[in-house]
Amino acid sequence: MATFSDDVFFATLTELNARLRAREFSAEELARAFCDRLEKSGPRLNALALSLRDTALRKAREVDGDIRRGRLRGPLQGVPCAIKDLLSVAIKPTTWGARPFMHQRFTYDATVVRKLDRAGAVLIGKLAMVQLAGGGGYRYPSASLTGPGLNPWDLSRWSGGSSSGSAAAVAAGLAPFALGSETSGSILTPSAYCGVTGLRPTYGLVSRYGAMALSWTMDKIGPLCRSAEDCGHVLQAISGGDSNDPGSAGKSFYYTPQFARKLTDLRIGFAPVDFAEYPEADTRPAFQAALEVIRGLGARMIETELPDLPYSDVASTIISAEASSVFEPLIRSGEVEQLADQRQIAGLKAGLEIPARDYLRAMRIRGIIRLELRKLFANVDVLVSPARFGAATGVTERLDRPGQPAATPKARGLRRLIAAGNLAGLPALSLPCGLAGGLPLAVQLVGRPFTENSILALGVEFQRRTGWHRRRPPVP
Amino acid sequence: MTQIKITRRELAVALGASAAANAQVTPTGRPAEDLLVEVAGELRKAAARLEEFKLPAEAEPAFVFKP
Repeated sequence: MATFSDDVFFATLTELNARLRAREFSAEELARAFCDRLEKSGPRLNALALSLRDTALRKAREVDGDIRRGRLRGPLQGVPCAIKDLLSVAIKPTTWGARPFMHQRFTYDATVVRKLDRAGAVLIGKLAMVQLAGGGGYRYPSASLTGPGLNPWDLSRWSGGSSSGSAAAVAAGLAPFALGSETSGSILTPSAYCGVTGLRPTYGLVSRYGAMALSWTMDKIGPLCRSAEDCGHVLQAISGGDSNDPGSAGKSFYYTPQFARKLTDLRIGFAPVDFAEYPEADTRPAFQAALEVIRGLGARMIETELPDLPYSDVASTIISAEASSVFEPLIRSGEVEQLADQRQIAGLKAGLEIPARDYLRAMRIRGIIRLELRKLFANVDVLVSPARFGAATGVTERLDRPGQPAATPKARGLRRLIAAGNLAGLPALSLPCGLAGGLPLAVQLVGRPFTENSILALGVEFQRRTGWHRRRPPVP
Repeated sequence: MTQIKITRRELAVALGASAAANAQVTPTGRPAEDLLVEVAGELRKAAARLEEFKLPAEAEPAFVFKP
């Protein structure tokens, strides 16, 4: 029986796959070790929704047989993984993190689950999330069937939402990688708070068939990993057209770092105010140091800012209207009252009353946002900004009163980049870039649609020079 | 078999944080109706701000959304 050290639990998936191929340990031994760890430490972080030990061990034995016979399937083969509990796995409970759905089961696998299986990944569990991925707008981190997501770096802090369990599990070495979803910040925020590398793909690149819908025009599924390189490998496995997803772009993604543009040919847009004034005071040195590393990559740095458009109001109107339509049966039945956050209940009910006029106006402005961002990207290839302007918030802190800088800066900078990027369907990568008060910080790289290879190449080089993605939390 | 080392202090912090946080943080104790009025008001304010945006006649909604 193999024994495993932290070097294995915190290895990247490419390192794990290499050791599996070298027969240092079997896929079954590895899956068993990760299942033990996930079942033991996952509940301490409120990160575990469901262990899939039995099916994982069966799959791992199958993979071991394939490896023995020389049937090699790529870098995910034999590597354990876990998924946010809004993705269906046939017959198993899929709770969407919400009490009214705690007994829900589907008869089919989500497309991404099928694709991971085909790539040889070993699914060990489903991970906790903010209920209904935050639909309606929640006020406290406790808005989840499993309790508030606790941050492995400091258990009095939140792991972020709504992919709370996905980020916490990867950060704590409970799974080498996980899938999450983002409508407006749900991959980037927990990735930043927990110090893992998260990729929000271009809208339509990854099928959402079998995933809970929150906002049909904004939902994306993406990986949370230990490195930018790992994100590239996972994205290649899960991307691709799918006739079952009306939003599918019908495109595939091939991770081809060998063909990436030279970094010296890239133009990187940034706003000094994002690094010097918007962040909380104790986080500024880390963000400024990260900007210097990016500057040192040799790319052309161009000062820029987002066009002056109402990103937050457009996003909240669209997401509220679509989410309340998705969950109308839940609201009408009265079961919405079982949700764990009163603000969220009120938000879902109120969203039903949004007039078509307001929704259409928001969607028309969204069209303008998309065009204006396209113009912005005529002058730059990538935008860089802090992913969040502070470290993880307290686990009992109210979330709808965000901290503001002492004096709001006059310059807009790229402050609304999460809302803007999601409205325009742009890809983004969250990269750990330092610590403040012992908590992780991150920068985000945002590119044009379907330019994941460019932001990943930049991310890989940033991580080669900094090593922040290799830091491990003190617990569990 | 893997062993995860955790000190008694870490365990106490973990259990304490978990228990405190799991003790449902009830938002304000205000009646649900008040909260509904407040949230509906927030949505109306957002809509009012969007009304101020000068929208060209040719701007179509991003319906079949493609980035």
